Amino acid sequence: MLLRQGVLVALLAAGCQRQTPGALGRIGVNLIKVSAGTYRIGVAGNSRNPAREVSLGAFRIADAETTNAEFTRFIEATGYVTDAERAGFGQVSREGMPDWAWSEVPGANWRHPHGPDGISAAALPNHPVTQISGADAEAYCRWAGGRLPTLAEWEVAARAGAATRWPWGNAFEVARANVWNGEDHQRNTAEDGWKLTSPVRSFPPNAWGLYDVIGNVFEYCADLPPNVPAGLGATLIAGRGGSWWCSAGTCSFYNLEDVGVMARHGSLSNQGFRIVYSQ
Amino acid sequence: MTARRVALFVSILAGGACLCLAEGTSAAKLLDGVIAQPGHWNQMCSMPAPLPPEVPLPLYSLAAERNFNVSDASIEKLGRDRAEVVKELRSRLKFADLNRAAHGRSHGIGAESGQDPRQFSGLMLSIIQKLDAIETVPELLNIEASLDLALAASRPDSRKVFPGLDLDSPVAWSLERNTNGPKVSVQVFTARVLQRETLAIIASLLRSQKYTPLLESKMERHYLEHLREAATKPPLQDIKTPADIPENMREWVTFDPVHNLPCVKTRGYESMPYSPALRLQIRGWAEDYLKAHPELAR
Repeated sequence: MLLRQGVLVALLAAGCQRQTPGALGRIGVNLIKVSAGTYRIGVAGNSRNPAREVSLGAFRIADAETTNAEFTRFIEATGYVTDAERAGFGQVSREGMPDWAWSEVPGANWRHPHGPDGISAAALPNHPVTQISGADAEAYCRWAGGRLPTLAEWEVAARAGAATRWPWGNAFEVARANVWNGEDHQRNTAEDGWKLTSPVRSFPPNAWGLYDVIGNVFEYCADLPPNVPAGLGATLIAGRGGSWWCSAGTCSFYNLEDVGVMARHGSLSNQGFRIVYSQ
Repeated sequence: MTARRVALFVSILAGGACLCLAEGTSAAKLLDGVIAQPGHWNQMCSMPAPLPPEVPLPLYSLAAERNFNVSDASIEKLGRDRAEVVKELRSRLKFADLNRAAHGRSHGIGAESGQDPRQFSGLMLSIIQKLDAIETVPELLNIEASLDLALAASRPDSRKVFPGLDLDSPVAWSLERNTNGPKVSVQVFTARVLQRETLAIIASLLRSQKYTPLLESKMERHYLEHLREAATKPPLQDIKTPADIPENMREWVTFDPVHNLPCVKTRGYESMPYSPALRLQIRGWAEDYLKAHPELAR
């Protein structure tokens, strides 16, 4: 009972503070404060995210995914070269592909996430940056004085107190998130208004004011799920929340429960991140 | 023979003879590079269908989706020096030490698989299949025999079966949480998967050579049923000839060379129940093929 009361107090207290970090210097993002406490996360039967309690220290998390404009400032300040730029290609998905197919597109990188013939990041300043690897995201976070959220931090902030499959409940609502609308990747009906990424904060936020925790882009996290063998941290990275490419007919990872894993230095057109600061 | 003695025997065979790897040849470097950075990785939400612990025989493919795959561009690179690359593959298969850890190396550069290019792995099998390297059948038969021997000598929950082998696939990560049925260790599961996959790739190579006994087999009839069914569903249902493949699908849709039916290159794992009899049948075909092609035994 005491534990439940403590959790309730922590949940009520959390998410009430927004900060625009002058002290955090290089970037101006809205940060949501999450209080220290014990939280329930995971779901029974999910081997990558089993139901459990976690104790977290206080942290602050960006209310939105890192945008092209923000990432541009990082690049201009540091000259950093992303993994996709080094490799000379990124993996791209397009309408009309079979499910589970990806194209290796020369010249696809954060500046041109769908390839040189596609729309440029400069034309989408408020869209989440993509075609950046987990390692690239970590480099940005270091520059900005922050870090990636842990899997637990991400889920606690994304849930915002909800114990349901989505922040708003157990039934998916098209108007709440940017995901793939269609039976398969042959056609996107764009019922939610978007075929690719959408500007951050285009959809309603969760109860604590975080936007796009579901859909838009997968968000990299700092650690790997508990069932992943030790020693894979150098080659793999985890991500959560699903993306504009995720559909009910394929992966359906656009929820608060599932945890994805992929190449740490791989770049795709539906991966992104949001930044976190320890208290 | 206990699993430990089998492992020791295999280790002596491999380690004692491991002297002649052409570390510096261009083919060796090429192969090292492709296995280290295969060029293709799964998307974040790729979640392979669970494999039952008894592990079926995949039909002409790997059984388990890997974290990293060999891209078409990487295969094209290898194909330009195919003869030397295949020679190098044969050498690595011959001297592969199944007791040695296949995973663990990482240099933090590029989308690296972390797989040791000198060790037996799903990436190596995939390269063999995509290069259509029928020349590697003698060495694949030996690897399969080692795996089968070790499995036969072990209990399903044994952790001593080639502990270094690594599937590098999420399919193995939740195995030990599976509480239905007799407990199977990750090590036994991994060895079973690689053993079935080796047989499947041997069969695939024979199929590519249009080996008649295989084409007339129950296994092939099962595969034909799968192809026919898949051809009636999206995205293949409107594709009757290669000319029907839409431009934006040409990267992923091909035609099966035996039955001239459309098929998708991604995923599409089809299988049938594994049995020792099926194993002996595939091995028998391979041995017959080698007798008819003695040049491959060199």
